[in-house]
Amino acid sequence: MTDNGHTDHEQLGRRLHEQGQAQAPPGLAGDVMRQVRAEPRQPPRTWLRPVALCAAVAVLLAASVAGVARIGAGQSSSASRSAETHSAMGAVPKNSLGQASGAGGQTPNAITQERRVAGVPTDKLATLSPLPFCAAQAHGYALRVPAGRYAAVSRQLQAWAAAKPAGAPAYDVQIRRAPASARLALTCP
Amino acid sequence: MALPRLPVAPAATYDGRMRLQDASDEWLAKRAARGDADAFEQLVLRYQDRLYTLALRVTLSEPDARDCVQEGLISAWRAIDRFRGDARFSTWIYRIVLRKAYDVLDRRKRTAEPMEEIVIASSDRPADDRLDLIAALATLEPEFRAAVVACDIIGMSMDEAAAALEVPAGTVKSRLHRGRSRLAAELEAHRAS
Repeated sequence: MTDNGHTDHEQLGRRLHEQGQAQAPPGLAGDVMRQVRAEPRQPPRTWLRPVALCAAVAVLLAASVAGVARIGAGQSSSASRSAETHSAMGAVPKNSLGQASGAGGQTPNAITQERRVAGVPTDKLATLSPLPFCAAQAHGYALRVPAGRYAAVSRQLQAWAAAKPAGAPAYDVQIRRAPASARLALTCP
Repeated sequence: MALPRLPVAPAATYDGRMRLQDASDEWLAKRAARGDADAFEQLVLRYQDRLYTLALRVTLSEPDARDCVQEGLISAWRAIDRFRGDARFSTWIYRIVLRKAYDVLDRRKRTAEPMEEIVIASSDRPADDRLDLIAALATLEPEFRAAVVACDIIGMSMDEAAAALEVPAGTVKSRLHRGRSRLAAELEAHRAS
């Protein structure tokens, strides 16, 4: 743009600014305010925001605590399961807190309702249910047991494990309590 | 040379003794968001002429401009708690009224309203070349006209106009330049005839 063009534009801008102004019609503000006052605003409830924030934080905190508790219980279970696996008898039951139960280890886990029996002879195990084909690295099975038979099956597995001849092929079995209507079945872990 | 600006609201903050007239736009907007209609009225009084000018020069119609400003201010009242204060209040309210003005232009395009009676507003007193200038402004396409009106007539900065027109600042600059050029050519042609 040339200097003249630039000056022209500036002059034009000044003229527009001076001559382009208009005044609002006299009743405009009054009409607007009549309508504004006819629909009053609710003042925002400023106290609601911190309260909602606190509630959200409390819920999150509670959820975190619950989550940590569950994880803790899971780790305890793993730890005791590991101990059972390495025990000679392999029949130490656990409860939800990962402690050995009082009555001779017969009480099933109250929450996870699982127990693990190590070294159950393969031939004995096969009498309960056909052995499924699992991945090569699987060293055990899960046994789904109807609720009513849980204690009996558990005792039986422990007895078999205790009486296992040295060197006989055996598997670790994780016993899982199933609904009473379920069928007893061996599955891959 | 910088253009003379319209008087802007004082950027004062409220200290408890200040009158509403002296409060900043943003403070008034905050009060309005809490339901203070008097604070909102102060904003209406402060901006009504600028908003009306903006709407009138974009829509080229007095009744439409009045409707745009009225509807825009009512919309602003309803939505003022969403005004976050990260932009200037003026930019926010200009944008609302400009949207209303664009709606009018769109509606006019759809319904093919006649343009003859909407070029010159009755408030434009016939004084020497004033009518020529306003008539020439009316010949610009709406996007160029809006840029010229926002920057030259209202006195918005390039950034403020960009925010109000919802286009990049570079686009405003280019539209302003082309708009002024066409306006100059139109006035020249008018003088020659």
